[in-house]
Amino acid sequence: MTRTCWSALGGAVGAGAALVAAGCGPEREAPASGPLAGRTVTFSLSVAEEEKPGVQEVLQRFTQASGARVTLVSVAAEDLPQKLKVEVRAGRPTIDLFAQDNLVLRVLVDEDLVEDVSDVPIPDGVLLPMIPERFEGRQYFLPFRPNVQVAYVNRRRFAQAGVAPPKTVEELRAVGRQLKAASGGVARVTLPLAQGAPAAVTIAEWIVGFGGNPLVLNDQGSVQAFEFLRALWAEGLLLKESLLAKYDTQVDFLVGETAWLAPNWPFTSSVLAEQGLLEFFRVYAGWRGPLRGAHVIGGDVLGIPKGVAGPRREAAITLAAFLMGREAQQILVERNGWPSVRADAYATVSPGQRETFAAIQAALKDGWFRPNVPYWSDVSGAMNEAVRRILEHGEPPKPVLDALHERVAAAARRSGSPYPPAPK
Amino acid sequence: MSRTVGHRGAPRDRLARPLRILFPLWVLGSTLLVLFPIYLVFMVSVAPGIAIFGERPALLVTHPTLRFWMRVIARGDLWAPLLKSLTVASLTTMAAVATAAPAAYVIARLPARLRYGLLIGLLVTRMFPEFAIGVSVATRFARVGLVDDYLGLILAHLIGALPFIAWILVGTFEAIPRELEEAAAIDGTSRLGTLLRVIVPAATPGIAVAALFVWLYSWNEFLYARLLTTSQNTLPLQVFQAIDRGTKQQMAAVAAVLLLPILCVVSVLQRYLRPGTLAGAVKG
Repeated sequence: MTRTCWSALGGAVGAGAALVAAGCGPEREAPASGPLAGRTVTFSLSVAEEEKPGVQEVLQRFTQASGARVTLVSVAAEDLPQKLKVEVRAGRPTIDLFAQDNLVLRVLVDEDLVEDVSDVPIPDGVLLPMIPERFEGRQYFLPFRPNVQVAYVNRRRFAQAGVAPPKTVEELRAVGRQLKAASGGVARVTLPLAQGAPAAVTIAEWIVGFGGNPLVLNDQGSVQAFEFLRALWAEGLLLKESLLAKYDTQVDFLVGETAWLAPNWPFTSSVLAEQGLLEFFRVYAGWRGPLRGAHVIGGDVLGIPKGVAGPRREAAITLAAFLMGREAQQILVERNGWPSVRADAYATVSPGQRETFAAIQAALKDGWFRPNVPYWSDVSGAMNEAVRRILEHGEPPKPVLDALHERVAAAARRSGSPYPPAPK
Repeated sequence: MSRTVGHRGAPRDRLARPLRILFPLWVLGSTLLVLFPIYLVFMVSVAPGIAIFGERPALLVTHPTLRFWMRVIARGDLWAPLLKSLTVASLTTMAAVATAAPAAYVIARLPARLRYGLLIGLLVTRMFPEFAIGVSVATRFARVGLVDDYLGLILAHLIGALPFIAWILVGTFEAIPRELEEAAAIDGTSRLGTLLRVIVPAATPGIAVAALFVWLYSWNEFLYARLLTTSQNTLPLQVFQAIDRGTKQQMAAVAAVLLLPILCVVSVLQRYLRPGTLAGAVKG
């Protein structure tokens, strides 16, 4: 038994070594020509395995055009600040260019971990609203990959219930009632309200849609948004599972027909397509609040670690420019189903995904960037607590939001940020 | 007489009968409890598409598929991390045993007060949370070029592993009677010979436990792997990324890859984990 196991272990290691040798063999050599011939750029991008081939294709095109080789590494968004802290403080950054979640940028600026790229021109064709916000007047980040939630509708169930997808929150209430009636008194709408980022994104969208400011949290729009949500909840028009709903469980709810209407990120279309189920769902931008449509813009932006200078910086900037260009964006749209920072990148979308991209583009028109304030985690925590207290426990919105506002204000003061924030 | 014995034995018998039934059930239940998550990982990894979606996914797969395993294998990006983790964990274990075993033996033979002082001193180094010191340690490692380097990772893992392995081994060597060494000396065995031919074999179960502990610690270590790795992930990092961003079946297949070497190493080392090795060692 032991000998067998040793043999198995040895065999596994041997096989692994052989596979490593096979997999890590000499790659196609970079062409000797090109303005960056002989250079290597290390690019950090956290992507799903299925998305890597699309990214690799983009990087190969870059290599062909520039002569520089690109090493693709994957550092998760939550790990990047610590990793950069270690390398920047040691004066030895190993990453030349990184893509980072647009919500966790503040820490990179505050810790002085990222280079100022105000001098880098944004290529023509990049949509102005897609350009990341400046920090203290400086551009530290460049646009790369936006993301936005859209709504998924179970076509058959909606047809059976005789309802159309809601376009406003009032229509959502009416549709919720009709779906509930059609399913024998069971709610059929889930909102992503799982603890953490999902609830924060959803609540921010509702508050902005009602004309409020999530950073303030107790203004008229915020209170109205919560009153509306509380009414939906109390009437039983939202599934209780909403409190567990996030990017992956929303897919489960849709596929299992627990939810007949659910907002989620567009990767849902790829998952549904892979299961052969996309045709059973309609994808559209979702509903608007009484004052405006509001879709939190997620996704990644590009940055260069502090200390990357000289030829390395030049190569990183060239790669960033290529990634923002039409050719790269078109490949990423086509191969990975990523929304683009450019309007001219959607020409080659497959017919099955056209509806999704139309929905994404419509949602992006109402896009809203979460403010990169140092106290955002307190705002997010306050919105989450508001969900628990107002929706789950039925507390009246105003007093709860007043108390949470004070907490956010205190956090803002502690961080030295001006508060209340100036209206955008 | 027989009546008295029978009378005394009755309550024990009354208790023994249900115990005879309950004990195997308890053992079976505990075993299932431990094995169930492992079963789930392997089950999901061979589940076809729709079988595991929805709120009440099936617990039995009627039409298993190796599609997701094939994808994971074909992708090939787990093998290099697997090899890196195997190498780092094995070298860390060897270095830890080689460093800690002699030190622990010496400590075990010191006077009690000094021994416990040293042991407490060792454990004090573990009082600081790794997250608090990780960035500082990693920054120093990065300064001397130990990022993306096997040596850096091994040294970082030794920081966490050495105090515990020393603690375990001191206990192991303490339990070995000095009489064994004295008997070996009387038989004419040299000091080194006694250590290699008497003490080390007697300490094998303890060394195996300690080695297993270090191997598993290094295999699963996350913080330093995260901070000191850029181009080539360790397997846990790679698995984390797959779990974070993959489909459920792929997550399960990748998690199973992480489990397999652990199961194998535990199987190998379990033969040394028998209790009672020292029983009768100094019987006259």
